Amino acid sequence: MTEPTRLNRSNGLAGALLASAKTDAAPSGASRRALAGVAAITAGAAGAGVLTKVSGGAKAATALQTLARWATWKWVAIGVAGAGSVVTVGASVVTRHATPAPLVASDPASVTTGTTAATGTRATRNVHGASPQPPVQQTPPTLAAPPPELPASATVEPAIAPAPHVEARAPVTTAAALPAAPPPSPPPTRTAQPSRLAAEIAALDDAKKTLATGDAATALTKLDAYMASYPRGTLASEASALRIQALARSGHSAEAHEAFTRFRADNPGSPLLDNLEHELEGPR
Amino acid sequence: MHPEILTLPHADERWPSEGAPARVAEAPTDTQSQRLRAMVDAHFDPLWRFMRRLGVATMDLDDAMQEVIMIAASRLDVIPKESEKAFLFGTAFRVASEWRRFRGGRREVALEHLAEHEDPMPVADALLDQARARTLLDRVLEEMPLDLRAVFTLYEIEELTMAEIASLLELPAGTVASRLRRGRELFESQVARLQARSTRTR
Repeated sequence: MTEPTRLNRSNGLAGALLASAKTDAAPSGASRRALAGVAAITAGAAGAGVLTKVSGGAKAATALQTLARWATWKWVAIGVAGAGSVVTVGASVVTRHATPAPLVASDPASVTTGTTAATGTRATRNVHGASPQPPVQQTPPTLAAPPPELPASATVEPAIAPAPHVEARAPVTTAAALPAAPPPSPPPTRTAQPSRLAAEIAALDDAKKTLATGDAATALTKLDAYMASYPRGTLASEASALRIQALARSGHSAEAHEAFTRFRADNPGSPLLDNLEHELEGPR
Repeated sequence: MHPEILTLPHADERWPSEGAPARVAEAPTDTQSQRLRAMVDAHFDPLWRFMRRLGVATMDLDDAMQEVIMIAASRLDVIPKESEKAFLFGTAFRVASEWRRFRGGRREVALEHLAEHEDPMPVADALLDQARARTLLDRVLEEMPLDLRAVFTLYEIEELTMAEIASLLELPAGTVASRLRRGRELFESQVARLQARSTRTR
């Protein structure tokens, strides 16, 4: 591969701009903080406290509050996996958040698959409208949710996580406990004992993707299936929000508004409210 | 008028562990922790710079970096030793893409408007202030699509070879070359516009 000569850093404005970047460096302690945050998570210290500590702390002001809520998915997913299990279950959840890499090359054995980014941090697009409220004290809704109930058909095994409160959140269910919308093409060895949360995420993700295709009616069916399978699912509030969207987009405007009223009452201060309001204010 | 559908994590069809036997949860070993630390120590600053030049907001950098490390921690057992750097940079690129998307994507800071709305000092004579220069650089880079920006940044700022970039971003060599060429063209044209504007505002 021919290497072109690099742009000359001593040459005028272009050079000065490029040179300025070279002197840019991470603030002191940034590396240590990041590692400490990761260590806290991998140690299984799940919960809002960890989320707060690791998600940038007070610096993560303003719009990050919304992100923090959504990031909960990721952190909870990692946290419930328990001590060190980020290497296993936690990893599966993180990677299953991933967006198909835009630049994936053809070598499947390379790092491609591993480099897909965890996108539990992705949030809604209305972030720019987020008010500059301090995010740190906010316990993400999924963390505040009561321990999920297992479907009657679930075969429960002891959680792998050592912390009791974590165990309550991370039961392992058999494939029979999967909701009607299982993850797309999950590897058989995984479906044998999928993490319940991973299954929840997969089910909601499936519904979301269906909704994105414009098939709101099918999305609605899938969301109803999710709710039937996980009446008190860890992601119940997200499911409710999606369902409201699905209702609105499938022409059930009155029902959508009714559901929204309930949602607002049940989830005061939820970051999802803005989006839902926006959704419902759209053309009907 | 619909806002974007509430974004939920979605499954990755290319699950890396597909076909692998289910593993039993276990705490990271000391060896793994040491390896992770060594990886981070070796690459943190370049990664941080890379994400910054890709347009991750300053306020998000800690989180974005942590996310990269988190992903690396979760994949330690499948990252070949010789691919650590590639893994980290590839992950950083994708994480940066997500954060940019989260923040509303490409910020449309048209250079035309800079001189109208901002202090012209950054483009004045000396560019003594490095921080200002970086701000200006980022605005120039902001005009660049992210795929070009990544290649341009890695080549011109991090001074990686094109082969390294091809490996890091998992791109064919020809794609790296063409992106670099286009990135340079954009960069130089934007800088030329800035210079012209700076001259006019003096």
